[in-house]
Amino acid sequence: MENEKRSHICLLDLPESHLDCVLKHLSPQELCIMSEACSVLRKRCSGDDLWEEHIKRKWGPVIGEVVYNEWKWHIASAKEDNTLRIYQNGSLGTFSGDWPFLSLGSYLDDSEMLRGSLSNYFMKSLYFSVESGKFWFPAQIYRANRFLCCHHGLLSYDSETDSFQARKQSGGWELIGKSIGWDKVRATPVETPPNALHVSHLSNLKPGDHIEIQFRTSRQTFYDWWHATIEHLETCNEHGNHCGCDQSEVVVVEFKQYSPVVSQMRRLVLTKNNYQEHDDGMGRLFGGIRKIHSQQQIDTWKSLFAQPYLRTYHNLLEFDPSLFISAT
Amino acid sequence: MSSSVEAITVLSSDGDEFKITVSAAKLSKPLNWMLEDVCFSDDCDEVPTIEVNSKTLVKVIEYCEKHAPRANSGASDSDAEELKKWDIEFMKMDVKDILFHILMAANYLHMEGLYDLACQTAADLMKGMTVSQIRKIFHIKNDFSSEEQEQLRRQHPGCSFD
Repeated sequence: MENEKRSHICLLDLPESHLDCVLKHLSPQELCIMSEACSVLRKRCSGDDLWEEHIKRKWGPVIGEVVYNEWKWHIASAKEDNTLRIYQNGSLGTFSGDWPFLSLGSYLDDSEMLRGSLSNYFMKSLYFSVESGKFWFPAQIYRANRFLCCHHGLLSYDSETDSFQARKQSGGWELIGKSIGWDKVRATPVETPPNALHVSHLSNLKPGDHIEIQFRTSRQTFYDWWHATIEHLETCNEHGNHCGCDQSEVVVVEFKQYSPVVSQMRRLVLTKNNYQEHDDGMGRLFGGIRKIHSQQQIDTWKSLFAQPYLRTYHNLLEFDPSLFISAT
Repeated sequence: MSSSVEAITVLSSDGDEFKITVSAAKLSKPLNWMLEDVCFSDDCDEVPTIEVNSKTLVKVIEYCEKHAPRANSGASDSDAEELKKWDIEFMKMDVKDILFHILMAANYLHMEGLYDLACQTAADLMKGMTVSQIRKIFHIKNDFSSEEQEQLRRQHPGCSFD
């Protein structure tokens, strides 16, 4: 009898750290089933570490710190249960109607599931809110209509097609696309809000660097991000290790998406010191700069530039530069 | 360390004696320390005790002996493949009853490979099970009220619990 008892598998007798190591091998669905077995397992199977790992594995390229910060707000709202702050559907404002919030950072379509104990489990509740498509989270979408750029927007995941819907702020929050693939979206790379100037250090930039620069045409709208490269000064003859461009007080930014024919649009000269938003006098406002360190991100831009619709547009421009200027 | 020593004797927590080769003991840092102690000590008659029960220690030593050649000299991909198959079979046998003992022993003996293998095996037992099967296999008592259970079902959309 004694022996029989000892040979039992006693899962709950395992120290917590070991149990967690076992549970790491389970899928989200398997964790849910385990968590229904008893109250101890419910707690162990709902831990943030386990679920953050699943979020990273599934949505790592689109979900990061910026989304976590938004989710904190929704969790706090659900816990406060403050009916003044929570709209009927549990979110701040709506996509249409009276509250086309410029500062709407994210949107929860239905907070009903947060009313129970799930709100105690930060990552797990985030996982299910994203999986169900009910949470519109901040991210960025590569788009090429007139220009190739990266927009700020809100994404909703569609688990059936493994793709996204996106909304963009432009007065209201218009739906700009459905079935958007993974190659067209990314997590917001900086924590700077989309309407704020990204603080940047231009003195670190040198020829050959790939950068992204904030761009907008009106101070009332969000910034987009444009890809550009840092080039040598026009006065610079040396293109090797002895080039003095990085010592200069100015930095030359070049947008490859403009044809060389429109050189006044293609090149931008910025003063390094005390850099603020730059108005180029042609209706273009340039904000902060972030240097791209990841080769993967550089390759993404390159592959987007290589796409057929953009090449067609470029060819057009080479024949009629005025078309491009009027397009801004 | 004397090169003439090829195997040492250790005691399990139940007091049974086991032999483990020097090369196999190298898979575990604590075992390796014990081995050095034994070989350098003047009092060579002293037999070190490992705080693992006999049933588990047999399996741990079997694992060490199998993995030692590869760990000590490196191995080709085909050997690694063969070893993987062996691992699966090793965990399949009547070992289920002592799976968690092996997991704890692997942790105590700093054996990462065996620890991961035990965790994966335990997780595999949970896969594809319903809630009631899980409770049965792992001897878990359902301590939820019916309201709590209903709430859980609502929280986990898309999961089947039958």
